[in-house]
Amino acid sequence: MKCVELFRQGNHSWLAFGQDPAKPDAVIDTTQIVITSGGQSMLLDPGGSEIFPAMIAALTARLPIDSIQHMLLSHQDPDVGSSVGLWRRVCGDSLNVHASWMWTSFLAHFDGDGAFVPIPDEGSVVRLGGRDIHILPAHYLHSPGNFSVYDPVARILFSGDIGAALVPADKRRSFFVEDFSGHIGYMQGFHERWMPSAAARDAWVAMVSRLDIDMLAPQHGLIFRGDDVKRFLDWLMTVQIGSDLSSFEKAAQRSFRVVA
Amino acid sequence: MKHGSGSRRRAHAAEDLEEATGALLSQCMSAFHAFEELGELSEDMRILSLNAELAAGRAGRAGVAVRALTQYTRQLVGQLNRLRSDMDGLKSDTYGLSAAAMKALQELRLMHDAGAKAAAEQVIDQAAADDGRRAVDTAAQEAFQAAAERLHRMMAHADELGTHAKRIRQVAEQSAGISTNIAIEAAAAGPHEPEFRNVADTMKRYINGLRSMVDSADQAVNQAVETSRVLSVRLASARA
Repeated sequence: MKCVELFRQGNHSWLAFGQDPAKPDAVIDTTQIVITSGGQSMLLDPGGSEIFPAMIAALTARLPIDSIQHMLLSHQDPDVGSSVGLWRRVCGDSLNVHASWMWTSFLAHFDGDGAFVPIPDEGSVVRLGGRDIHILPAHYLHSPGNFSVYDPVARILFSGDIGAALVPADKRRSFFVEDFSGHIGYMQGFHERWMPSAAARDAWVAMVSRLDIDMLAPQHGLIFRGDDVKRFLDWLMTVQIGSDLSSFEKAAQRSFRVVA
Repeated sequence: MKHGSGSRRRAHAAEDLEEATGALLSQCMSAFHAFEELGELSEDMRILSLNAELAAGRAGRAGVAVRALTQYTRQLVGQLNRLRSDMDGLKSDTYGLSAAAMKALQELRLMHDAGAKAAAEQVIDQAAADDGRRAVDTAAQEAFQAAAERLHRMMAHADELGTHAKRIRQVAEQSAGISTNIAIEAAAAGPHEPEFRNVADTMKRYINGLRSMVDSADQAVNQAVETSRVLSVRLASARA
Protein backbone atom coordinates (compact mmCIF):
# COMPACT_ATOMS: atom_id res chain seq x y z
CA MET A 1 0.00 0.00 0.00
CA LYS A 2 1.26 3.46 -0.90
CA CYS A 3 1.71 6.21 1.65
CA VAL A 4 2.10 9.95 1.19
CA GLU A 5 2.79 12.61 3.79
CA LEU A 6 0.23 15.40 3.49
CA PHE A 7 1.60 17.61 6.25
CA ARG A 8 4.42 17.74 8.77
CA GLN A 9 5.31 20.39 11.33
CA GLY A 10 7.47 19.11 14.17
CA ASN A 11 5.74 16.09 15.70
CA HIS A 12 2.42 16.94 14.01
CA SER A 13 1.71 15.11 10.77
CA TRP A 14 -0.92 13.76 8.37
CA LEU A 15 -0.27 10.57 6.39
CA ALA A 16 -2.53 9.19 3.65
CA PHE A 17 -2.49 5.46 2.79
CA GLY A 18 -4.11 3.85 -0.25
CA GLN A 19 -3.82 2.89 -3.92
CA ASP A 20 -2.60 -0.59 -3.02
CA PRO A 21 -1.53 -2.25 -6.31
CA ALA A 22 -2.13 -5.69 -4.74
CA LYS A 23 -5.74 -4.90 -3.77
CA PRO A 24 -8.33 -7.18 -5.43
CA ASP A 25 -10.22 -5.29 -8.18
CA ALA A 26 -13.58 -6.12 -6.62
CA VAL A 27 -12.70 -4.11 -3.51
CA ILE A 28 -13.28 -0.35 -3.88
CA ASP A 29 -10.16 1.73 -3.39
CA THR A 30 -10.12 3.71 -0.14
CA THR A 31 -7.80 6.26 1.40
CA GLN A 32 -6.95 5.87 5.08
CA ILE A 33 -5.66 8.89 7.00
CA VAL A 34 -3.46 8.90 10.09
CA ILE A 35 -3.06 12.14 12.06
CA THR A 36 -0.19 12.10 14.56
CA SER A 37 0.55 14.74 17.16
CA GLY A 38 2.86 14.55 20.18
CA GLY A 39 3.26 10.79 19.86
CA GLN A 40 -0.49 10.08 19.70
CA SER A 41 -2.21 9.02 16.49
CA MET A 42 -5.77 9.03 15.19
CA LEU A 43 -6.79 6.76 12.33
CA LEU A 44 -9.61 8.09 10.14
CA ASP A 45 -11.77 5.52 8.34
CA PRO A 46 -9.48 2.48 8.82
CA GLY A 47 -11.07 0.64 5.87
CA GLY A 48 -12.60 -2.79 5.36
CA SER A 49 -11.35 -6.15 6.61
CA GLU A 50 -9.99 -7.03 3.16
CA ILE A 51 -7.46 -4.19 3.22
CA PHE A 52 -6.54 -4.60 6.90
CA PRO A 53 -3.38 -6.70 6.28
CA ALA A 54 -1.92 -4.21 3.78
CA MET A 55 -2.96 -1.21 5.85
CA ILE A 56 -1.49 -2.37 9.16
CA ALA A 57 1.70 -3.47 7.40
CA ALA A 58 2.10 -0.04 5.80
CA LEU A 59 1.22 1.81 8.99
CA THR A 60 3.51 -0.13 11.34
CA ALA A 61 6.44 0.38 8.96
CA ARG A 62 6.20 4.07 9.91
CA LEU A 63 4.43 4.44 13.27
CA PRO A 64 4.38 2.55 16.57
CA ILE A 65 1.11 0.63 16.87
CA ASP A 66 0.63 1.74 20.47
CA SER A 67 0.56 5.39 19.33
CA ILE A 68 -2.90 4.78 17.87
CA GLN A 69 -5.18 6.08 20.60
CA HIS A 70 -8.17 7.17 18.53
CA MET A 71 -10.05 5.96 15.50
CA LEU A 72 -12.92 7.68 13.71
CA LEU A 73 -15.52 6.02 11.53
CA SER A 74 -17.04 8.84 9.46
CA HIS A 75 -20.13 6.69 8.92
CA GLN A 76 -21.29 3.07 9.04
CA ASP A 77 -20.30 1.66 5.65
CA PRO A 78 -18.23 -1.58 5.51
CA ASP A 79 -15.46 0.01 3.41
CA VAL A 80 -15.12 2.61 6.18
CA GLY A 81 -14.75 0.36 9.19
CA SER A 82 -15.49 -3.36 8.90
CA SER A 83 -11.88 -3.88 10.05
CA VAL A 84 -12.55 -2.19 13.41
CA GLY A 85 -12.54 -5.49 15.35
CA LEU A 86 -9.18 -6.46 13.85
CA TRP A 87 -7.68 -3.09 14.80
CA ARG A 88 -9.00 -3.50 18.31
CA ARG A 89 -7.24 -6.89 18.53
CA VAL A 90 -3.86 -5.34 17.74
CA CYS A 91 -4.29 -1.95 19.41
CA GLY A 92 -5.92 -3.26 22.58
CA ASP A 93 -8.96 -2.14 24.53
CA SER A 94 -7.59 1.35 25.17
CA LEU A 95 -8.35 2.33 21.56
CA ASN A 96 -11.13 4.95 21.44
CA VAL A 97 -13.34 4.32 18.41
CA HIS A 98 -15.47 7.39 17.66
CA ALA A 99 -18.64 7.06 15.59
CA SER A 100 -22.02 8.74 15.30
CA TRP A 101 -24.35 7.89 18.20
CA MET A 102 -26.72 6.69 15.49
CA TRP A 103 -24.42 3.90 14.38
CA THR A 104 -22.72 2.54 17.50
CA SER A 105 -25.11 -0.39 17.95
CA PHE A 106 -25.06 -1.09 14.21
CA LEU A 107 -21.25 -1.03 14.14
CA ALA A 108 -21.25 -3.59 16.96
CA HIS A 109 -22.10 -6.08 14.19
CA PHE A 110 -18.49 -5.55 13.00
CA ASP A 111 -17.07 -5.75 16.52
CA GLY A 112 -19.38 -6.89 19.27
CA ASP A 113 -16.61 -7.08 21.88
CA GLY A 114 -15.64 -3.43 22.05
CA ALA A 115 -17.32 -0.18 23.02
CA PHE A 116 -17.65 2.87 20.77
CA VAL A 117 -17.40 6.52 21.73
CA PRO A 118 -20.69 8.02 20.50
CA ILE A 119 -20.33 11.35 18.68
CA PRO A 120 -23.27 13.73 19.19
CA ASP A 121 -24.90 15.28 16.11
CA GLU A 122 -23.05 18.58 16.53
CA GLY A 123 -19.67 16.77 16.48
CA SER A 124 -16.92 16.94 19.08
CA VAL A 125 -13.27 17.75 19.65
CA VAL A 126 -10.61 15.08 20.15
CA ARG A 127 -7.48 16.12 22.04
CA LEU A 128 -4.52 14.54 20.26
CA GLY A 129 -1.05 15.10 21.70
CA GLY A 130 -2.12 18.50 23.07
CA ARG A 131 -3.83 19.65 19.85
CA ASP A 132 -7.52 19.83 19.03
CA ILE A 133 -8.91 17.78 16.15
CA HIS A 134 -12.43 18.90 15.25
CA ILE A 135 -15.11 16.39 14.29
CA LEU A 136 -17.69 18.26 12.22
CA PRO A 137 -21.20 17.23 11.16
CA ALA A 138 -21.69 16.07 7.57
CA HIS A 139 -25.06 14.39 8.05
CA TYR A 140 -26.88 13.15 4.94
CA LEU A 141 -23.63 13.39 2.98
CA HIS A 142 -24.23 10.59 2.36
CA SER A 143 -25.15 8.81 5.61
CA PRO A 144 -27.70 10.34 8.02
CA GLY A 145 -25.05 10.11 10.77
CA ASN A 146 -21.89 11.34 9.04
CA PHE A 147 -18.81 13.37 10.05
CA SER A 148 -15.87 15.25 8.57
CA VAL A 149 -12.62 15.99 10.42
CA TYR A 150 -10.75 19.29 10.48
CA ASP A 151 -7.28 20.03 11.77
CA PRO A 152 -6.67 23.80 12.16
CA VAL A 153 -2.88 23.32 12.40
CA ALA A 154 -2.51 21.28 9.22
CA ARG A 155 -5.49 23.11 7.62
CA ILE A 156 -6.66 19.80 6.20
CA LEU A 157 -10.29 18.71 6.01
CA PHE A 158 -11.01 14.97 5.83
CA SER A 159 -14.37 14.88 4.06
CA GLY A 160 -15.32 11.18 4.04
CA ASP A 161 -17.44 10.46 0.96
CA ILE A 162 -17.82 14.15 0.05
CA GLY A 163 -15.48 14.70 -2.88
CA ALA A 164 -15.18 10.96 -3.47
CA ALA A 165 -14.31 9.93 -7.01
CA LEU A 166 -14.27 6.57 -8.73
CA VAL A 167 -10.95 6.99 -10.52
CA PRO A 168 -9.76 4.04 -12.67
CA ALA A 169 -6.47 2.57 -11.42
CA ASP A 170 -4.62 3.54 -14.60
CA LYS A 171 -5.65 7.19 -14.17
CA ARG A 172 -4.23 7.52 -10.66
CA ARG A 173 -0.79 9.07 -11.09
CA SER A 174 -0.54 10.44 -7.56
CA PHE A 175 -2.69 10.99 -4.49
CA PHE A 176 -3.68 14.47 -5.70
CA VAL A 177 -6.06 15.95 -8.26
CA GLU A 178 -3.90 17.33 -11.06
CA ASP A 179 -6.58 18.28 -13.58
CA PHE A 180 -9.75 19.47 -11.84
CA SER A 181 -12.00 19.68 -14.91
CA GLY A 182 -10.93 16.20 -16.02
CA HIS A 183 -11.58 14.91 -12.49
CA ILE A 184 -15.24 16.05 -12.48
CA GLY A 185 -16.21 13.12 -14.67
CA TYR A 186 -15.11 10.71 -11.92
CA MET A 187 -17.12 12.55 -9.22
CA GLN A 188 -20.33 13.60 -10.96
CA GLY A 189 -22.25 10.31 -10.96
CA PHE A 190 -21.12 9.43 -7.46
CA HIS A 191 -22.41 12.68 -5.95
CA GLU A 192 -25.67 12.67 -7.93
CA ARG A 193 -26.46 9.18 -6.69
CA TRP A 194 -24.83 8.81 -3.26
CA MET A 195 -25.61 12.25 -1.83
CA PRO A 196 -29.29 12.56 -0.96
CA SER A 197 -29.75 16.07 0.48
CA ALA A 198 -29.13 19.41 -1.26
CA ALA A 199 -30.04 21.21 1.99
CA ALA A 200 -27.35 19.26 3.88
CA ARG A 201 -24.87 20.00 1.09
CA ASP A 202 -25.64 23.74 1.35
CA ALA A 203 -25.24 23.70 5.16
CA TRP A 204 -21.99 21.72 5.00
CA VAL A 205 -20.47 23.98 2.34
CA ALA A 206 -21.51 27.07 4.35
CA MET A 207 -19.85 25.57 7.46
CA VAL A 208 -16.55 24.51 5.88
CA SER A 209 -16.28 27.73 3.85
CA ARG A 210 -15.57 29.47 7.18
CA LEU A 211 -12.46 27.28 7.68
CA ASP A 212 -8.96 27.79 6.32
CA ILE A 213 -8.46 24.71 4.18
CA ASP A 214 -5.27 23.90 2.28
CA MET A 215 -6.30 20.33 1.48
CA LEU A 216 -9.57 18.47 1.27
CA ALA A 217 -9.09 14.70 1.52
CA PRO A 218 -12.00 12.36 0.66
CA GLN A 219 -12.10 8.66 1.52
CA HIS A 220 -12.21 7.58 -2.16
CA GLY A 221 -10.35 9.03 -5.12
CA LEU A 222 -7.90 11.92 -5.03
CA ILE A 223 -7.06 14.76 -2.65
CA PHE A 224 -7.81 18.40 -3.52
CA ARG A 225 -5.20 20.99 -2.63
CA GLY A 226 -4.68 24.71 -3.08
CA ASP A 227 -7.17 26.39 -5.41
CA ASP A 228 -8.77 23.04 -6.22
CA VAL A 229 -10.38 23.08 -2.76
CA LYS A 230 -12.47 26.14 -3.65
CA ARG A 231 -13.08 24.77 -7.16
CA PHE A 232 -14.43 21.61 -5.60
CA LEU A 233 -16.75 23.46 -3.17
CA ASP A 234 -18.04 25.65 -6.02
CA TRP A 235 -18.61 22.60 -8.19
CA LEU A 236 -20.37 20.74 -5.35
CA MET A 237 -22.90 23.59 -5.10
CA THR A 238 -23.85 23.01 -8.75
CA VAL A 239 -24.45 19.25 -8.50
CA GLN A 240 -28.02 17.99 -8.84
CA ILE A 241 -27.85 16.15 -5.51
CA GLY A 242 -30.11 13.09 -5.21
CA SER A 243 -31.20 13.48 -8.82
CA ASP A 244 -30.80 9.96 -10.20
CA LEU A 245 -34.44 8.87 -9.85
CA SER A 246 -34.99 7.12 -13.18
CA SER A 247 -35.19 3.67 -11.58
CA PHE A 248 -38.65 4.31 -10.05
CA GLU A 249 -40.35 4.76 -13.39
CA LYS A 250 -38.41 1.84 -14.90
CA ALA A 251 -39.59 -0.43 -12.08
CA ALA A 252 -43.17 0.79 -12.45
CA GLN A 253 -43.12 0.06 -16.18
CA ARG A 254 -41.64 -3.40 -15.60
CA SER A 255 -43.62 -4.63 -12.62
CA PHE A 256 -46.94 -2.87 -12.15
CA ARG A 257 -50.19 -3.84 -13.83
CA VAL A 258 -51.60 -1.01 -15.91
CA VAL A 259 -54.89 0.10 -14.41
CA ALA A 260 -57.33 1.02 -17.17
CA MET B 1 12.36 -12.45 4.60
CA LYS B 2 12.24 -15.54 6.82
CA HIS B 3 9.41 -13.99 8.82
CA GLY B 4 7.50 -13.27 5.58
CA SER B 5 7.63 -16.85 4.29
CA GLY B 6 6.64 -18.08 7.78
CA SER B 7 3.61 -15.76 7.76
CA ARG B 8 2.60 -16.90 4.29
CA ARG B 9 2.88 -20.54 5.41
CA ARG B 10 0.74 -19.78 8.44
CA ALA B 11 -1.80 -17.93 6.25
CA HIS B 12 -2.10 -21.09 4.11
CA ALA B 13 -2.41 -23.18 7.28
CA ALA B 14 -5.29 -20.97 8.40
CA GLU B 15 -6.97 -21.47 5.01
CA ASP B 16 -6.54 -25.26 5.38
CA LEU B 17 -8.15 -25.08 8.82
CA GLU B 18 -11.06 -23.05 7.37
CA GLU B 19 -11.52 -25.68 4.66
CA ALA B 20 -11.50 -28.58 7.16
CA THR B 21 -13.91 -26.70 9.45
CA GLY B 22 -16.33 -26.24 6.56
CA ALA B 23 -16.05 -29.96 5.73
CA LEU B 24 -16.63 -30.97 9.38
CA LEU B 25 -19.75 -28.79 9.60
CA SER B 26 -21.12 -30.20 6.36
CA GLN B 27 -20.51 -33.83 7.51
CA CYS B 28 -22.11 -33.20 10.92
CA MET B 29 -25.09 -31.61 9.17
CA SER B 30 -25.42 -34.66 6.87
CA ALA B 31 -25.57 -36.87 9.96
CA PHE B 32 -28.19 -34.63 11.60
CA HIS B 33 -30.12 -34.58 8.32
CA ALA B 34 -30.17 -38.41 8.30
CA PHE B 35 -32.20 -38.30 11.54
CA GLU B 36 -34.59 -35.62 10.29
CA GLU B 37 -37.58 -38.01 10.35
CA LEU B 38 -36.68 -39.62 13.66
CA GLY B 39 -39.40 -37.69 15.52
CA GLU B 40 -42.11 -38.84 13.14
CA LEU B 41 -40.89 -42.43 13.27
CA SER B 42 -40.75 -42.54 17.06
CA GLU B 43 -44.28 -41.10 17.24
CA ASP B 44 -45.45 -43.82 14.81
CA MET B 45 -43.82 -46.43 17.09
CA ARG B 46 -45.53 -44.93 20.13
CA ILE B 47 -48.98 -45.07 18.48
CA LEU B 48 -48.33 -48.63 17.28
CA SER B 49 -47.42 -49.68 20.83
CA LEU B 50 -50.62 -48.11 22.20
CA ASN B 51 -52.73 -49.91 19.59
CA ALA B 52 -50.88 -53.17 20.30
CA GLU B 53 -51.58 -52.75 24.00
CA LEU B 54 -55.30 -52.31 23.30
CA ALA B 55 -55.24 -55.45 21.14
CA ALA B 56 -53.38 -57.30 23.92
CA GLY B 57 -56.09 -56.23 26.38
CA ARG B 58 -58.78 -57.55 24.05
CA ALA B 59 -56.87 -60.88 23.78
CA GLY B 60 -57.05 -61.46 27.58
CA ARG B 61 -54.55 -64.09 28.82
CA ALA B 62 -53.23 -64.61 25.25
CA GLY B 63 -52.10 -60.98 25.20
CA VAL B 64 -50.23 -60.78 28.52
CA ALA B 65 -46.75 -61.17 27.01
CA VAL B 66 -47.52 -58.80 24.10
CA ARG B 67 -48.70 -56.18 26.57
CA ALA B 68 -45.38 -56.37 28.44
CA LEU B 69 -43.49 -56.13 25.15
CA THR B 70 -45.43 -53.02 24.07
CA GLN B 71 -44.69 -51.32 27.39
CA TYR B 72 -41.00 -52.01 26.80
CA THR B 73 -41.40 -50.55 23.31
CA ARG B 74 -42.69 -47.30 24.82
CA GLN B 75 -39.59 -47.09 27.01
CA LEU B 76 -37.48 -47.37 23.86
CA VAL B 77 -39.61 -44.66 22.22
CA GLY B 78 -38.89 -42.46 25.24
CA GLN B 79 -35.15 -43.06 24.71
CA LEU B 80 -35.46 -42.13 21.03
CA ASN B 81 -37.24 -38.89 21.97
CA ARG B 82 -34.52 -37.97 24.46
CA LEU B 83 -31.83 -38.72 21.87
CA ARG B 84 -33.66 -36.61 19.30
CA SER B 85 -33.91 -33.70 21.74
CA ASP B 86 -30.19 -34.01 22.58
CA MET B 87 -29.36 -34.02 18.87
CA ASP B 88 -31.43 -30.87 18.27
CA GLY B 89 -29.35 -29.08 20.92
CA LEU B 90 -26.16 -30.53 19.47
CA LYS B 91 -27.15 -29.35 15.99
CA SER B 92 -27.78 -25.71 16.92
CA ASP B 93 -24.63 -25.69 19.07
CA THR B 94 -22.60 -27.09 16.15
CA TYR B 95 -23.88 -24.32 13.86
CA GLY B 96 -22.95 -21.66 16.43
CA LEU B 97 -19.50 -23.15 17.08
CA SER B 98 -18.67 -23.47 13.39
CA ALA B 99 -19.68 -19.83 12.76
CA ALA B 100 -17.53 -18.65 15.68
CA ALA B 101 -14.61 -20.87 14.59
CA MET B 102 -14.83 -19.59 11.00
CA LYS B 103 -14.81 -15.98 12.24
CA ALA B 104 -11.73 -16.63 14.39
CA LEU B 105 -10.01 -18.46 11.52
CA GLN B 106 -10.75 -15.60 9.13
CA GLU B 107 -9.25 -13.24 11.68
CA LEU B 108 -6.24 -15.55 12.00
CA ARG B 109 -5.75 -15.60 8.22
CA LEU B 110 -5.94 -11.79 8.03
CA MET B 111 -3.38 -11.45 10.86
CA HIS B 112 -1.04 -13.86 9.06
CA ASP B 113 -1.57 -11.93 5.81
CA ALA B 114 -0.69 -8.78 7.74
CA GLY B 115 2.52 -10.44 8.98
CA ALA B 116 3.48 -11.46 5.44
CA LYS B 117 2.79 -7.99 4.09
CA ALA B 118 4.69 -6.33 6.94
CA ALA B 119 7.72 -8.47 6.11
CA ALA B 120 7.59 -7.26 2.50
CA GLU B 121 7.10 -3.61 3.47
CA GLN B 122 9.89 -1.06 3.17
CA VAL B 123 10.46 -0.16 6.81
CA ILE B 124 10.85 3.51 7.75
CA ASP B 125 10.94 3.02 11.54
CA GLN B 126 12.42 -0.35 12.55
CA ALA B 127 11.32 -0.17 16.21
CA ALA B 128 7.75 0.65 15.18
CA ALA B 129 7.78 -2.21 12.66
CA ASP B 130 9.03 -4.66 15.33
CA ASP B 131 6.32 -3.49 17.75
CA GLY B 132 3.68 -3.83 15.04
CA ARG B 133 4.82 -7.35 14.19
CA ARG B 134 4.65 -8.39 17.84
CA ALA B 135 1.14 -6.92 18.19
CA VAL B 136 -0.02 -8.76 15.05
CA ASP B 137 1.58 -12.03 16.23
CA THR B 138 -0.14 -11.72 19.62
CA ALA B 139 -3.49 -11.03 17.94
CA ALA B 140 -2.90 -14.04 15.66
CA GLN B 141 -2.16 -16.28 18.67
CA GLU B 142 -5.34 -15.12 20.38
CA ALA B 143 -7.37 -15.75 17.22
CA PHE B 144 -5.79 -19.20 16.96
CA GLN B 145 -6.64 -20.03 20.59
CA ALA B 146 -10.23 -18.90 20.05
CA ALA B 147 -10.51 -20.98 16.85
CA ALA B 148 -8.85 -24.05 18.41
CA GLU B 149 -11.14 -23.96 21.47
CA ARG B 150 -14.24 -23.87 19.25
CA LEU B 151 -12.91 -26.51 16.88
CA HIS B 152 -12.17 -28.89 19.77
CA ARG B 153 -15.76 -28.46 20.95
CA MET B 154 -17.02 -29.08 17.42
CA MET B 155 -14.96 -32.28 17.23
CA ALA B 156 -16.36 -33.37 20.60
CA HIS B 157 -19.84 -32.77 19.16
CA ALA B 158 -19.00 -35.00 16.17
CA ASP B 159 -17.95 -37.74 18.62
CA GLU B 160 -21.13 -37.28 20.62
CA LEU B 161 -23.15 -37.51 17.43
CA GLY B 162 -21.45 -40.86 16.74
CA THR B 163 -22.37 -42.04 20.26
CA HIS B 164 -25.99 -41.02 19.68
CA ALA B 165 -26.06 -42.88 16.35
CA LYS B 166 -24.76 -46.00 18.11
CA ARG B 167 -27.43 -45.65 20.79
CA ILE B 168 -30.15 -45.34 18.13
CA ARG B 169 -28.84 -48.50 16.47
CA GLN B 170 -29.06 -50.28 19.83
CA VAL B 171 -32.66 -49.11 20.17
CA ALA B 172 -33.35 -50.47 16.67
CA GLU B 173 -31.85 -53.85 17.60
CA GLN B 174 -33.77 -54.00 20.89
CA SER B 175 -36.96 -53.12 18.99
CA ALA B 176 -36.18 -55.88 16.48
CA GLY B 177 -36.01 -58.33 19.40
CA ILE B 178 -39.42 -57.12 20.60
CA SER B 179 -41.01 -57.46 17.16
CA THR B 180 -39.66 -61.04 16.86
CA ASN B 181 -41.13 -61.89 20.25
CA ILE B 182 -44.48 -60.37 19.28
CA ALA B 183 -44.44 -62.51 16.09
CA ILE B 184 -43.77 -65.62 18.27
CA GLU B 185 -46.62 -64.66 20.60
CA ALA B 186 -48.85 -64.13 17.55
CA ALA B 187 -48.31 -67.74 16.43
CA ALA B 188 -49.80 -68.94 19.71
CA ALA B 189 -52.53 -66.31 19.96
CA GLY B 190 -55.23 -68.22 18.03
CA PRO B 191 -57.91 -65.79 16.78
CA HIS B 192 -55.69 -62.80 17.73
CA GLU B 193 -52.83 -63.96 15.52
CA PRO B 194 -53.57 -61.65 12.54
CA GLU B 195 -53.72 -58.58 14.75
CA PHE B 196 -50.46 -59.38 16.60
CA ARG B 197 -48.74 -60.36 13.34
CA ASN B 198 -49.74 -57.04 11.82
CA VAL B 199 -48.17 -55.26 14.84
CA ALA B 200 -44.94 -57.27 14.44
CA ASP B 201 -44.77 -56.57 10.68
CA THR B 202 -45.44 -52.84 11.10
CA MET B 203 -42.80 -52.64 13.79
CA LYS B 204 -40.28 -54.38 11.50
CA ARG B 205 -40.99 -51.73 8.86
CA TYR B 206 -40.30 -48.95 11.38
CA ILE B 207 -37.12 -50.70 12.53
CA ASN B 208 -35.90 -50.89 8.92
CA GLY B 209 -36.49 -47.13 8.66
CA LEU B 210 -34.48 -46.61 11.85
CA ARG B 211 -31.62 -48.80 10.59
CA SER B 212 -31.56 -46.95 7.30
CA MET B 213 -31.28 -43.60 9.17
CA VAL B 214 -28.38 -44.94 11.24
CA ASP B 215 -26.63 -46.34 8.12
CA SER B 216 -26.78 -42.92 6.41
CA ALA B 217 -25.68 -41.13 9.58
CA ASP B 218 -22.82 -43.59 10.16
CA GLN B 219 -21.32 -42.73 6.78
CA ALA B 220 -21.36 -38.99 7.59
CA VAL B 221 -20.16 -39.58 11.17
CA ASN B 222 -17.22 -41.68 9.93
CA GLN B 223 -16.27 -38.89 7.53
CA ALA B 224 -16.61 -36.36 10.37
CA VAL B 225 -14.35 -38.49 12.59
CA GLU B 226 -11.74 -38.61 9.81
CA THR B 227 -12.03 -34.84 9.27
CA SER B 228 -11.65 -34.35 13.04
CA ARG B 229 -8.45 -36.39 12.90
CA VAL B 230 -7.12 -34.20 10.05
CA LEU B 231 -8.18 -31.05 11.94
CA SER B 232 -6.38 -32.21 15.09
CA VAL B 233 -3.18 -32.78 13.10
CA ARG B 234 -3.50 -29.37 11.41
CA LEU B 235 -4.19 -27.65 14.72
CA ALA B 236 -1.17 -29.31 16.31
CA SER B 237 1.01 -28.37 13.36
CA ALA B 238 -0.32 -24.78 13.33
CA ARG B 239 0.29 -24.50 17.08
CA ALA B 240 3.87 -25.65 16.56
